[in-house]
Amino acid sequence: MVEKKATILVVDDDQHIRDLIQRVLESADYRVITASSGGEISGKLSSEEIDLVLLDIKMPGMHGFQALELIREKSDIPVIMVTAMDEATTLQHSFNLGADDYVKKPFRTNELLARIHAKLRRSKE
Amino acid sequence: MKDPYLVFYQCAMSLSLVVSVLVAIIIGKRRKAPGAGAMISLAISTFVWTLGFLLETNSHTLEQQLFYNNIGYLGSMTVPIAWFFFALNYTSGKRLFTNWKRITPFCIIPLATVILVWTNNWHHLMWSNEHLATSGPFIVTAKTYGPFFWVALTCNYVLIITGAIFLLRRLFVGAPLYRGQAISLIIAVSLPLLWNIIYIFSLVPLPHKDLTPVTFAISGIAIVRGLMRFKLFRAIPFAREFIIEQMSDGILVFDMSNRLLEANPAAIEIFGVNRNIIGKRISLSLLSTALEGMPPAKPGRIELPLTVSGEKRIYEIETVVMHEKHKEPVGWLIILHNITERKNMQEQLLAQDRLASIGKLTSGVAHELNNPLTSIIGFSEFLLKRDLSHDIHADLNVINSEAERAAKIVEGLLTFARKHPEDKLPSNINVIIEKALEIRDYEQKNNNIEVITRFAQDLPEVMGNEFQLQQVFLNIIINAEFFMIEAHGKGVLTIVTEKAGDCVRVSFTDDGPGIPKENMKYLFSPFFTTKEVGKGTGLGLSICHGIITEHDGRIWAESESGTGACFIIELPVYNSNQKTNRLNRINDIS
Repeated sequence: MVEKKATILVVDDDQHIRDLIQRVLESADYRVITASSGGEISGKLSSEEIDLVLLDIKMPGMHGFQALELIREKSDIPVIMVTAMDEATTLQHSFNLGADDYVKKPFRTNELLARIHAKLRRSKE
Repeated sequence: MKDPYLVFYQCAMSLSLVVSVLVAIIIGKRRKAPGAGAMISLAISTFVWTLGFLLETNSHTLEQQLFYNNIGYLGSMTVPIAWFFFALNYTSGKRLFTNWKRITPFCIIPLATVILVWTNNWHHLMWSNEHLATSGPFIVTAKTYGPFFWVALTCNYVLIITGAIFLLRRLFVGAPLYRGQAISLIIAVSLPLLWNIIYIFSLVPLPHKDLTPVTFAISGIAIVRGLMRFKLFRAIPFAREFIIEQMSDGILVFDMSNRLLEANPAAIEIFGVNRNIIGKRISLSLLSTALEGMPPAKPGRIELPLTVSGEKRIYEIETVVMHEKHKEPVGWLIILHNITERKNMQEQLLAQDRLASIGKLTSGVAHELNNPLTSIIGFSEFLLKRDLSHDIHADLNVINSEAERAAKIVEGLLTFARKHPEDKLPSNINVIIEKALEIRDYEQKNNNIEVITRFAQDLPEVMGNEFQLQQVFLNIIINAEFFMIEAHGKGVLTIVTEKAGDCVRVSFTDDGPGIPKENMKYLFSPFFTTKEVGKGTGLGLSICHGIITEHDGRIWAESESGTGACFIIELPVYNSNQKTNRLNRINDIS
């Protein structure tokens, strides 16, 4: 049982994807904060209490890998990569940089929710 | 007490004998070199000649002297022939005259001479009025030479002088090393020749006996000197001509009036013409229509496709104008260099490059498609959870499932376009074929291609690289589709998998036009294609062949024109005892 709404930061440059994820998560009773680029992450992390990050890899400006490094400099919160690039090397690199899981685009909404739930449960333990 | 002259002569002749034997032995060790065989004959002939004369000087009766004189003739008549062939073989760098048929014509006069010498008593064609002359320091046989003696003498001089000319020519055109060889040889031959002329025509009164064979001792020393210093019989002399004759590049030499001066065997083969066009004034288009309009005597390089003995080749044709320093051009040279292999290699690289860029492009497009597909799938799924009227729900389902299908195709494309690890893993052929068919599913439905699969359910695994094998199967499937559609706008492709002995066998049978018999042997050769320009690189099946061979398997085709084609692949069954690292699979996260 979740007493307090968990807050999830969604970072993706694609507005539709952000909207989609936001609606899916909100319908599952999560609080959602969105960011359209890696540059916004730093500010959000210091101003909000965030429980989990959904991070796109391929973004203009700051790349997902850079954003991940930035997060890891500040925090140990779970990070799930959301990506269309599912090459083994890309995934391996993500894990090396400190990612906790990945979801492949296009994803099933149920799968996304299940992975988020699993990560949050574990981080609460 | 013996006359000092006689002692001197006999010593000189004995020395000559020893030298001849030594020369024969030394050259015998290199008897395979051009001209060596002839040089050995020359040494042996000299030996016989000298021996005859040595014994003659030791005889005191006319009969004995004549007998040994006749023995000497056996040698003296073979020396010029041996010399002539030596010069010929040595300067051409080949062993031209090794069989008797070619040598025989040159032996007729010398042979006749020897016969006439031995039968001289009956006809006196060689000499007459023979008697012992005792006026000199020792006894010699004096004679009046008969008509055939002069014939034989002329013949000998012609042979010796011709041989010397061959060598002299080299003196002026050869490289310095060979010049040294040639000088040694010229000394070797001119000494006996000069001495012989002096003797025959009594130019110097002193010698009473023909000392020609003795001079051959000096010749022998000159030859041995050449042997030691200039690597005579070791370095192939005058290799340039030999190289030009043997080289695979064609060479044509024209003078400024377009007279063909020289064409090496390669050039003759390239144009498939008769050697006798050499010396004629010709235009290049006479050699090949492909050369029509080629400006004569204009230096440069062009590439030209030519068909040589039924084989298509690409030649690089280089034209060089020949002129001496600061002088008018004297002629021009055409060099034909076969660059077919190089060209093919270049094209292969280009095709590979093109395939790689197609892969990159595909991968980029597929990735870009994934974002909109994510939205479509996600939103439709999200909406489906809502309470909707039945018809909207049904429509939304279509949107969702079609987007799912699009996502699957994109995934297939990505899998295909991606760079794959090279490792082989135990794989199920049925699964790989199914994946390949998924990619082609849409096209096949659109083009009325029916696919019948008969997969063995208990098919053993094979050790293979899934992506490479998928590439092979896709290639064969796409080929079959192409030819069936071209032939009758539709088709049935039957794919069967089965275990055959220690192998897994896959067969792809189509009902297309089949493969003409004459094309069967070229099927797997690179750049062989029957498709129109732009529709096939001619690399597909050769890549398949490469991949299957690399998997220790076999690929072949069976077909009769008009009844479809069947491509069969056999791959060895994976034996779990083989050393393999199954952990690789776990590392392969994707």
